[in-house]
Amino acid sequence: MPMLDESLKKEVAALLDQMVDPVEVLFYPKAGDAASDAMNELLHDLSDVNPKVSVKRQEGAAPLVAPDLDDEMTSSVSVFTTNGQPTGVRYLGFPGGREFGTFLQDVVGISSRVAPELSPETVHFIENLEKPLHLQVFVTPT
Amino acid sequence: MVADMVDAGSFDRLSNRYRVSGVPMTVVNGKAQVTGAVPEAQLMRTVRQALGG
Repeated sequence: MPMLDESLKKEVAALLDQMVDPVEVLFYPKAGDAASDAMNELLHDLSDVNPKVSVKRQEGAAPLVAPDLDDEMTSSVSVFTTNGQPTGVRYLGFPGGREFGTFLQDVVGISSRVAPELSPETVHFIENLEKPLHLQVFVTPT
Repeated sequence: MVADMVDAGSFDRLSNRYRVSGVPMTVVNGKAQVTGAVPEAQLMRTVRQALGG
């Protein structure tokens, strides 16, 4: 069942028109999880709205990123790639409610390579990282 | 570098581990965390803390 009605599809299409590079989402579903099913439908809806979004369903579990544990992966993991390369951006779960807009902006940002508004010091710090860095931003779909 | 957005409701075990009580909450390498849409400088202090520098 589609997640987006026709009216919402038009709004989403207008936003996704800003995309530049194709974005391929490596989708790792979680069997028996409703949010995972919803995310699967949503990603395919986005692909229908704009073919620059594509979805590749993956078999098995998403590779763990330390310090995550296997039994904590209770829903789907969506890994964003462009031009066959990982972007380092993932979405765990389903972007419901107000998170949906943020999610779409992220897709467009990844696609159009819009540089985030960061200070030169922060950019220098990230460009010279020598240790793995895993940021997890917890949100709720309210 | 990996950056995750985590739907806390669907990842309850992960959320419980970090005792997520407010959002947004950012966890860095599982070691340091900060709650709220904090300024960049504050987030970077948390990042440096987690990296031990």
